[in-house]
Amino acid sequence: MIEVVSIDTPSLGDRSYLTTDGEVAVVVDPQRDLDRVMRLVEERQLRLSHVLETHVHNDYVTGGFALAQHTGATYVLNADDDVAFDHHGVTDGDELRTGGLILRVVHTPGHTPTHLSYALHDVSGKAIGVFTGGSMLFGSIGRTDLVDAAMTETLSRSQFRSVRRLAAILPDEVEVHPTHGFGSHCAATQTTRSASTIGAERTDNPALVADDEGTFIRALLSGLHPYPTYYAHMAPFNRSGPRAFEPVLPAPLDVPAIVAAVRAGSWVLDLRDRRAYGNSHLLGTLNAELRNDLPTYVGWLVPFDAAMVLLGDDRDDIAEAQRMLARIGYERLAGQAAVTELDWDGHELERSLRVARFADLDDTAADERTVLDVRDEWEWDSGHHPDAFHVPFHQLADRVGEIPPGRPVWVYCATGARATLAASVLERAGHQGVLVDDFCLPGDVPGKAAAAAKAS
Amino acid sequence: MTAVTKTLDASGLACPMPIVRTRQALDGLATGDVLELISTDRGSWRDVPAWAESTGNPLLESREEDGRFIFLIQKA
Repeated sequence: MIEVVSIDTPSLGDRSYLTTDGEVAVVVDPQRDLDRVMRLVEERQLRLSHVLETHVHNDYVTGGFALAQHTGATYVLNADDDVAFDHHGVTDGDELRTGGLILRVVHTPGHTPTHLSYALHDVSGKAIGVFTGGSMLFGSIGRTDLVDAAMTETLSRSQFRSVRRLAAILPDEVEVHPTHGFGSHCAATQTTRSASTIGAERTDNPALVADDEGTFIRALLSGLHPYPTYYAHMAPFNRSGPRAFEPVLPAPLDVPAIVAAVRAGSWVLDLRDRRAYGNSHLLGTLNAELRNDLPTYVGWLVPFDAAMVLLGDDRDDIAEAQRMLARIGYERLAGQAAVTELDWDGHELERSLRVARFADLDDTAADERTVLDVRDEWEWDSGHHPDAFHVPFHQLADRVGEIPPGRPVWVYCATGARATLAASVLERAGHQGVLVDDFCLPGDVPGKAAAAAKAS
Repeated sequence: MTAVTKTLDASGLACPMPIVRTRQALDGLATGDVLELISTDRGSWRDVPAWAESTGNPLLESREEDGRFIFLIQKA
């Protein structure tokens, strides 16, 4: 009986898979924190024979190289992949047989030029599932603009054909197992299903329902949102054969050491809830709340090889953040501290950040503050505060100089998470920030002037 | 056990989509109906109660189960 187990990484919107016949196992697209895979392998007493990559990843550091080294499994990539290490190179039509598992290699370019899908069959030849990586996703497809702007149109055409090819060669009941989706920026559109089959994809996958290739490509390219800047570092890192993530925290820092780190230019991230940070924090630290989006926002803001210090409520939060950041190659952890063990009361760098709501903003006059919207372009376009100035979060680091000095900056986003990080960036740059801890969802126009206009 | 009128599985959706979908789902319900929201976004643990309070829709229950966050929200 063949089983496919999914190992989810919700903070990146990715899945890895382990497939087994009960004795032998194959892992597809593992993340860098190997303990999750190894726990499965050890609990079930399996022999890991192969580690497969569907592609050289752009959104995370692979655990594949380290996993293969650690277990002696065969590390499988496209024979045409330009990588620094030995691997078993495969090509379209190849077959991998291990125990009761047969995996057929299908070249499905699009997300990347050398992208592969692996169709899983049992020994009778019956197709059971297909690991589609970044090609066919649940009701979506992997984006095609991550490799090179000059290649995007060609890759989009390839993606269309690759998804159609998978649907042509595999029967309806075959389960689809993609790597991307679930909130990942690698997905061209948001995916909503949590399981699917080839048959289900026929009903709404954009590549399968589009009238023609041209319509598909236009829709794909016009709907793409910004992707995190750290992506540029991932493929080179993956090609070099990255080592596994070691869940070891550096020694805890005291307040003077934290202050020294801030002064030395380290990126000190305070993981606490926005209200705790707003109540009391150290100037120069940034409020990157511990949420699924942490890697995305850190990846947009912090230079790739920057030294970081993590401050959190407790050791568990700090360890979780360390793991999430290591998955995207952010591993220069220069220190950490649990805020509950620190006392910076009365310190010259102690600050508080006012936390307010849109109703409070309504009580201020336009000339006594700046209103800053840090949401993405599509969110701003759907509606925004009438007095707001727009700097999408991912551009903030470069454009902070555009914010007029000398008056408080009221920062908002959709739910307040990007806003608190943005407000702390502004404070570090010398502004007085106010966090609008309130909701401005797509289509909303906050503010009493807007409400009055709507009522009349 | 509170009776659930509708379940919204927002698993895999990233901020702000869980709240956006919740609002859409509640718009389609009648006063007194209960929406069950399932989210894998850790930020939901903070966002959903805050949104419920901000919009006056009572949050009847919230719990964590195997990495998923489950909320019962009543339409006011």
